[in-house]
Amino acid sequence: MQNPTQPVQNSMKPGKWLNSSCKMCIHSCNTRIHITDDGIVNKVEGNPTSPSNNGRLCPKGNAAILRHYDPARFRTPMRRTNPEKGPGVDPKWEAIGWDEALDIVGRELKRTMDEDRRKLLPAINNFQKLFLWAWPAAFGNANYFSSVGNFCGGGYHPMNGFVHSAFAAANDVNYCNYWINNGGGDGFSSHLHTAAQANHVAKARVERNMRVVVVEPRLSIGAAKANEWVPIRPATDRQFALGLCHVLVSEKLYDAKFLVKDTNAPYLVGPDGYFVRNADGKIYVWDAADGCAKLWDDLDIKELALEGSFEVEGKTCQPAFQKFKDILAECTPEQMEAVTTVPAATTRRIAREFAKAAQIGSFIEIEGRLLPLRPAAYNYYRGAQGHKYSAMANQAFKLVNFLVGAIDTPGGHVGATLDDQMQEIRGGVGQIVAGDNGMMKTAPHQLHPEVPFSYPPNETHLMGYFPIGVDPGHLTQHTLANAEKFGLDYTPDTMLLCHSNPLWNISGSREKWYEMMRAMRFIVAIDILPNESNEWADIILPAHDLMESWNMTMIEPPHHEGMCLRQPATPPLYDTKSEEEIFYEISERLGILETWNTILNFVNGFHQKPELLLEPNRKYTDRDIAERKGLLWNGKGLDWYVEHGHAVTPRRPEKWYRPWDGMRLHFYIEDIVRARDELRAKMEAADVPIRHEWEWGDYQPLPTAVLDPVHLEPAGFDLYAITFKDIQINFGESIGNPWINDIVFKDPVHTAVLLNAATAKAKGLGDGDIVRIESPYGSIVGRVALSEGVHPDAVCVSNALSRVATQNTGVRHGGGNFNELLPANLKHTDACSGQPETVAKVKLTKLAAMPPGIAAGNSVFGQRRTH
Amino acid sequence: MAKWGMVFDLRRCIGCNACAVACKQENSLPNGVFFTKTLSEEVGEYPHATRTYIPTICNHCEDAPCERVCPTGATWTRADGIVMVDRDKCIGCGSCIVACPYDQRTRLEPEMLQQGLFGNGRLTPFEEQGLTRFTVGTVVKCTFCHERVDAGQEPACVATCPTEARIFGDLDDAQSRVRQLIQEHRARQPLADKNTNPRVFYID
Amino acid sequence: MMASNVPIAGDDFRVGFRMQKAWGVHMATAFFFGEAGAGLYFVSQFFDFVTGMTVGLLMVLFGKAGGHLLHLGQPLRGWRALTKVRSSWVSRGLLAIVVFAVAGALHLLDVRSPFLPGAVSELVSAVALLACFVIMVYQGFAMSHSSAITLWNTGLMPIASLIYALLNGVLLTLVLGFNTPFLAADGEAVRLLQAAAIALMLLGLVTVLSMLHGARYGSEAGRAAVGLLLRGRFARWFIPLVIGLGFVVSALMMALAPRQFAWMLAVSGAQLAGYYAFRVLMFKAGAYDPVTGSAPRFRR
Repeated sequence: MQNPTQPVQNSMKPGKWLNSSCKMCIHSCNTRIHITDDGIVNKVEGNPTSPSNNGRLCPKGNAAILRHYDPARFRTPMRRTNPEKGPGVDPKWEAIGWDEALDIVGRELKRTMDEDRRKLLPAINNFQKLFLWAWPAAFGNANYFSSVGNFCGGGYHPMNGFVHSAFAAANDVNYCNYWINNGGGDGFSSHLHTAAQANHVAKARVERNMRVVVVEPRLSIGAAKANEWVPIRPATDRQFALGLCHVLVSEKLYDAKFLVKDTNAPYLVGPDGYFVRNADGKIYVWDAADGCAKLWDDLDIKELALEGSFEVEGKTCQPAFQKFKDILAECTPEQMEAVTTVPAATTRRIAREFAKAAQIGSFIEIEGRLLPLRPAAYNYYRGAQGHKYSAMANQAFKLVNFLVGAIDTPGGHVGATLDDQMQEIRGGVGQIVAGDNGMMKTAPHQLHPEVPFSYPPNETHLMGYFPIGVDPGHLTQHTLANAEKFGLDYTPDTMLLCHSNPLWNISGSREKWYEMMRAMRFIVAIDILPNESNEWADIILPAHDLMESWNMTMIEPPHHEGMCLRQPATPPLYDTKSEEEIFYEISERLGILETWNTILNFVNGFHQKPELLLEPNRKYTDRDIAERKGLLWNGKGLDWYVEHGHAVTPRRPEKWYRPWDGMRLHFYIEDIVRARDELRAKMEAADVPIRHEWEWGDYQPLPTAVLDPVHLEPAGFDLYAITFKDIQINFGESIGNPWINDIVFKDPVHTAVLLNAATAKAKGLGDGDIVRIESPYGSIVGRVALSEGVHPDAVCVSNALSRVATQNTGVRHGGGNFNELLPANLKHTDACSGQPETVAKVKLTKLAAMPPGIAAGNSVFGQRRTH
Repeated sequence: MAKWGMVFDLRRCIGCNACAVACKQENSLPNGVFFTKTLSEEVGEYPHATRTYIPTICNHCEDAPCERVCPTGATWTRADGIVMVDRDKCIGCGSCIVACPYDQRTRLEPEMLQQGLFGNGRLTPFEEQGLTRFTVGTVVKCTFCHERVDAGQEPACVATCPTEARIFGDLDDAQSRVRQLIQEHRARQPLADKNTNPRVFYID
Repeated sequence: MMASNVPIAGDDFRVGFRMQKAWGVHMATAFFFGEAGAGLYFVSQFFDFVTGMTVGLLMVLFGKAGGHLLHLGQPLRGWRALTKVRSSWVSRGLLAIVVFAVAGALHLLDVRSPFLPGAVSELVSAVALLACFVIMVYQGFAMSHSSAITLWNTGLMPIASLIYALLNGVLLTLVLGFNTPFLAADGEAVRLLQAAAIALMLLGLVTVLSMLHGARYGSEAGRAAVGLLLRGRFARWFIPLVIGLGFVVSALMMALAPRQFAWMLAVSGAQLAGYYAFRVLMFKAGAYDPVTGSAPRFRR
C-alpha cells in the first residue's frame, strides 16, 4: 500500500527538474526533465521559458524516456561472433571492453587508411552534432553512405542556398495571412521544430484567420486543417507552381518593383544562358525609357525593362523575367491541369487569392526599419521537391514567392539558417556575402564545402560531380554495380555508421545493398539501439543517449535562434561513451587527432574566438565542446546554460528579414548554368566516359514544365506510390518506442496502404485486401485501406510500415521497405542537386493472404485486435 | 470552490496525440491504456474530403453514470468536480465501464501490469517507480491530473499540447478562458443526449 | 461505421462505435445462472417443489455468485458491493442474493422439517420469494440503467430478464419435476406449465425483437449493434441460437411435445442454450455511440 501523501503523478513526485533539449528528431525543442530522488527520469516536458516551443512537445518528444530505458539498448562495446551476415541474422554479439573495441576499430580503420582512404564508407547522421559529419574529412575521405539531406531536400537545401543563402526556409508565421503548403508538413506534422511550428501556425490560423491551402496527393494533417485541400497527382507539384506563375504573370499580379530592384530579373540573358556582360564582366540591362542597354549599375537608368527582346553586344538577349515569361507561355493552368489534375479554375483562383493576400506595395515598420509586407507565401518540402527535376521544382516554388515579392520579407517566405550562430562556420554557411554584379553570393553548399572533381571518382556516390548538390548517397549502389563504366578504381570495404540507418533510409534494391554490406571487410557502428544497418556491424560502440550526454545545438528553428543545451539527466545507464569521446579515441589511434581538432575548430567556428580553440593534440569531452559552443554563441558558460537551459530568442529581424538588403537575389540562377559547363569541361578534360550519359538537361537556370521521368515508366504501372510521415514518426526512428507504437498502430493511416475509394472499387479492391505493390524496381506488400482523402492516382504508404525485421524485436515491421520501390540510378537522380526521385509508378496485385514471412514475428500485420 | 472543466478547440487540434503520450508518461500507463486520446474521422467525399480530429478524455460529468452505478462508492466526485476512483474500494466489477458512454475507463488486468511497456515481462525503472500507484483488477481513468491541478498546474495533456487545443480552467469563474470560449463559440458537450452533463466542451 | 463494414485492424483511434468489453463470458454465465436459478426457485416455490427450489438456490449461490467472483478484478473485496444500494443495481442485486441465500435456505429447511413459527415461516417464505424476484429482474436493470449502450438502454431489458427467468424456471421445473409426485399426479399443472412456457417463449420472442427494433432506431451504436446481431459477425450465433433454438424451435417442440422426459430435456436444453447465447451476445454486441454521435455539427 502506498503512502497516501505520496504523489502518484510522476511530475509531482519528490525530485528535481533539469533543463535540457530534445533529440527525438533532428531538431532541438527545449525541455525540462524530471528526475526522482531515486535518480529515475520520470517526466519530460517542454521548457515553458522557451519562446520557440512554448513549453510544448510533440508526441515523440513526450516519448523520450522510453528511449532512455529501452531494454534493447547497446550496453557495452560488442564484437560480432557470427561470421554470417544478413538481414535479421543474429550477429551473436559478445561483450568486450572499450579498450579492446577501440583497438580493433583503430587497427581495422588504420588498415583502410594505409591501403586506400577512399575505401571507407561513412554514414554519420547525428544532426545535433553536425561537426561529427566532418570526421571523414579528417580521415581523408569524402564518401557518404546515407540519404540524409537528399531524401529530405537534395534540391531544397541548395536552392535555399541560392535564393536565401540559408539551409532551410519557412513561411513567416508572424505576419503570413495566406499560407500555401505543398508537400511539406511545416506547421502541422513535420519539419522545423514541429511542436514549435505547430504552436505558432495554429495561433496564426485561429487567432489571425490565416488561410491555409494545402497541395498534396494525400489528405495529410495539414490538409485536414487547411481551409482548402488541393489534391494533386504525385510528382507534378512543379507544374502546379508554374501554373500559378503563369496566372501571376499573365494577369500582371506580380511585384514588378521588387523584381526590378531586388532581383536579377531585369538582367539580360544571352542565347548561351549566361548574362550578357561587357569586357569587364559587367552585366547589361535594358533601359526601356532610353531604349538602350546599360550596365546594371549605371546611375542613369530610368526604367529597367523586365520584358522584351534586344540586341546587345551582337547577341540576342532578353531580361531574365522575359525568359521566364516565355517558359510560362506553355504553362497555362489548362495545360498544367492535364498533368496535375488540379482544375485550371482552381489554379487561377488560388493565384489571384494569393496575389491579393500578398498586398503588393504595402510596407510595415519593424524596429525602425521599413520593410515590404507580403503576407502570402508558398511553402514546400520533401514531398513536393523529392523528384528527379528537384532543382527546377524548388526554383518553381521559390518563383511563386519571387513574383509577389515575398522573399525574406515579413509575411513571406524566409530563409532559415541551420545554426546561424556566427559567420564563417563551415565555410560561410548562412552568411550573406555580396557576389558579383550587385547580386548576393549564392551558397548552395549548406552542409560541407564543395568536394573536388576527380576521375577516377574518389567518391562512390560521385559527390565530386555534384558541385551544387547534396550527397546522393543512393548512387553508391549504381556505381558499384557499374564500376567499370564509372571508372571506379577501388571497392569500399570498410564502413563507419554513427546514428545512421542507411539500409532503412536509402532508396534502391535492398538485395543489392545487402550484397554490398556482405562484401565489407569491417563495419563499426556507433549507436544506441539495434537497427537494420548496425546489425551488420563487426563492432558496436555504444553511445550515450539524449539523457546522458552534453551538447549545445541549434538546428534550423524557423522563427527563433539561440543555442539549446543538452545535459545529462542521469549518469550513463550502461557502459557507454559520448560520440565526441569515441571519435577522439579513434582519431588518436589513427594518428589524426591534430587534423580532427583543426577540423572541429573550423566547423564549429571556434577560430572566431581564439580562446575557444581546441588544442591540436588534446582529447575533449562532449562537455568541453558544448561549453565552447555556448561561449561562442553568447559568451555564457555552462553554468548559465544549466540554469537557463537555452539562449533561445526570436530571430533578430535584421537577420531574419532581408539580410541581403542592397543586393540582388537570384531570380535567374546563372550559377547553375556555370556549374554545368564547368563540370562538363572537367569531365571532357578528364575524358570521363559517363559524361555522355550524364543528365545535362537537369541544369536549368529557370524551371520548365518538362515531365519527370517517373511519369514515363511502362504503361502497366498505373498508380503512383508515395510515402509519408505524420507527426508521431517525423524524422528518425520512432517505431519501437512503446508509446509511439501505442498511438501509431491504431489508425489505418499507419497500418494500411491508403487508396482512393473509387480507384479501389474500380480495381475490385476493398478494405483489408492484401496487395503486392510493384514498381519497375522492386515490390512490397501491404494491406489496403480505402480513403476519400487520397488522390485517385496515388497509393500512400506510411513510413510506419517501412521497417524490416531485425534483432530489435520491439520494432514492428511492415510489408517491406518503401524505398525498395525507388530506383537508385542516374536517370532518376537530379544531376543538378543529387535529389533522387521519391515517387514510384506501381501496379497492385491482389494476394490471397499476407505472405507468412511478413506476418511473422512482431509484424504490423500480426497485430491482434485489442478489443 | 472551482469546478474544473476542459475545452477542446477542434480548429487547433492536429491529432498528434502528444496529449496521449504526455498522459502516459505523467501517469505511468501500461500499453493500450489511455486516459485521453485523440480520434480522427474522415468526412466527405473526394475531393471535398477532410479529416476531423476529436480529442477525448473523461468528461468528469456532473451527472456521472459511472458514479451512480458503482456498487462500492469507489467512484466519487471531488468538491471541484473531478471524478475519482478509490483504488482501495474498487472491486473491478466493470459496471462503471459499461455505464460510461465515452469509453474512458479501463480495468487493469494482471498482464497489463506484468508485461511491461516493452512486452518482455520486465519493468523498466520508469515503470517500477510508476506502477505502484495501480492495483490490479481495479478500474482507472483520467483524474484531470488532480495532483498537478492541486499544485496550481495544468494537466499534463494541456501543458504539452503543441497547438494549445486543450484549454483547462474553472467553469464556475465567469472570467475564465474556458467559460469565455464556451460562451463565444456555442460550445457543445459530447453525446449530450446521454444526459451526463459533461464538464468537457468542444468548440470549432 | 456500419456493422456490415467491419473495420480493419488498428482502428482504435478512428471515430466510430466501440464495443463493450468489460462484461464478458463470466458475467454472462453469472447472469445465466441468476435468471435460471432464481426462475427455477420462483416457479418451484409456487408448487412447493423442494428439489427445484434447492437446485435453484444452489444455481444462484454457486453459478451466479461463482461467475461474479470469477469476473471481479478484486473478488476478495466483493462484499464492498453491498454499500451502494441507494443508486447501484449491482449493489441491490448483491443484497438480493444475500437475502435470498439466507431466506431461501431457511425456507427450504423449514419446508423439509418445519421449525419456524408460522408467521415467521410465512415471512421468510415471502422474503425469499421477493429477493428471488429481484434477482430475476435486477440484471436487466443493471444493464438498462445507463444510457451508454443503446442496445441495453431500454425498459424492455428488465422485462426480458423477467420473461427469461420465468421461462427458465418453468422449463427446469418441468424437467426436474418430471415423474415426481407433484407433476405426475397433477396433469393440470403440467399442461399449465407447458402452456406458460409456450406463452413465455412467444412473449420473449416479441420482447427481444422489440428491443432490437428499439435499439435500431435509438442511436448509431444501437443500429450497429443490431446489425452485428442480425447481419454481422454475431448473426450466425444470434439467429439460429437465440431466435431459432431459444424461441421458435423450443416453442414448436413444446407444442408438439409428447410427455417424455427426453422431450422435456430437449426442449429446455434448446431454450437454455438460446438463453445463454442471448446473455453472451447481448454483452458482445453492446456498442457505444461514437463520441460525435449526437452532434452532427462535429462533422463539418
